[in-house]
Amino acid sequence: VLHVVLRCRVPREGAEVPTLSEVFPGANWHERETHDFFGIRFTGHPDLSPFLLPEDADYHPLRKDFTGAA
Amino acid sequence: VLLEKTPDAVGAGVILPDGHETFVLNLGPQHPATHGVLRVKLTMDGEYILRAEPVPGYIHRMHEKMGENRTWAQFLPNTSRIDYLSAMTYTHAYVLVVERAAGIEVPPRAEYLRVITSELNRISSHLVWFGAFLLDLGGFTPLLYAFDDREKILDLLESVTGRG
Repeated sequence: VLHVVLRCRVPREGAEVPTLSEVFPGANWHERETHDFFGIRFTGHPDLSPFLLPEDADYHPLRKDFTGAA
Repeated sequence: VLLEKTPDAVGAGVILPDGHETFVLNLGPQHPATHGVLRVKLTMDGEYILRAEPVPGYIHRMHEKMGENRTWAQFLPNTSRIDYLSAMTYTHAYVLVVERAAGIEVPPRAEYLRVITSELNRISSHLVWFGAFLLDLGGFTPLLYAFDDREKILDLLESVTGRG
């Protein structure tokens, strides 16, 4: 069994990485969640609409500059 | 026929080759089969489901965000959710382990509060069992009595913890 961890840096503004969902279908929902919470766009993802956030959400609450709610 | 995602209308009002028109039906977020809430947006052709889109976020509490501005003692590992009907008991067990490992002795007042809240929580948990069990047997009224009493306990626990 081979375990691989892949890390990559993305710029804070306009954060964007290619989707893995075509290789690993299970990545689909993880990428939607990551987009919800951190605002990272996964290019080529079939549907990045809000997943765990309300369907009209346009904010990314786990960014550290998102404050005041907690 | 499996419909592709149509972002605007989620597949509503699509005319199928046989002339049928699709519509969207919401399963949930509350429905008789739910424990916890989940909504599924169903695109229907009559009684047939063509597309099902799960909407799972209703019980997400953004716990990670809550942890950003709290100290460790204010933000313990969430053992409460192991059994959400008996949350106090699990937190109690967790802090006992930490305190034993660290050799911490807490004041008698804390011990009393912990035992009282754990026992109240045990009663409120059993009230849910009792009410739901009789509900499954076909009796609706016992559930109302059980939940009426349970609410009184939850009010007390909320005054201790800050949340219900």
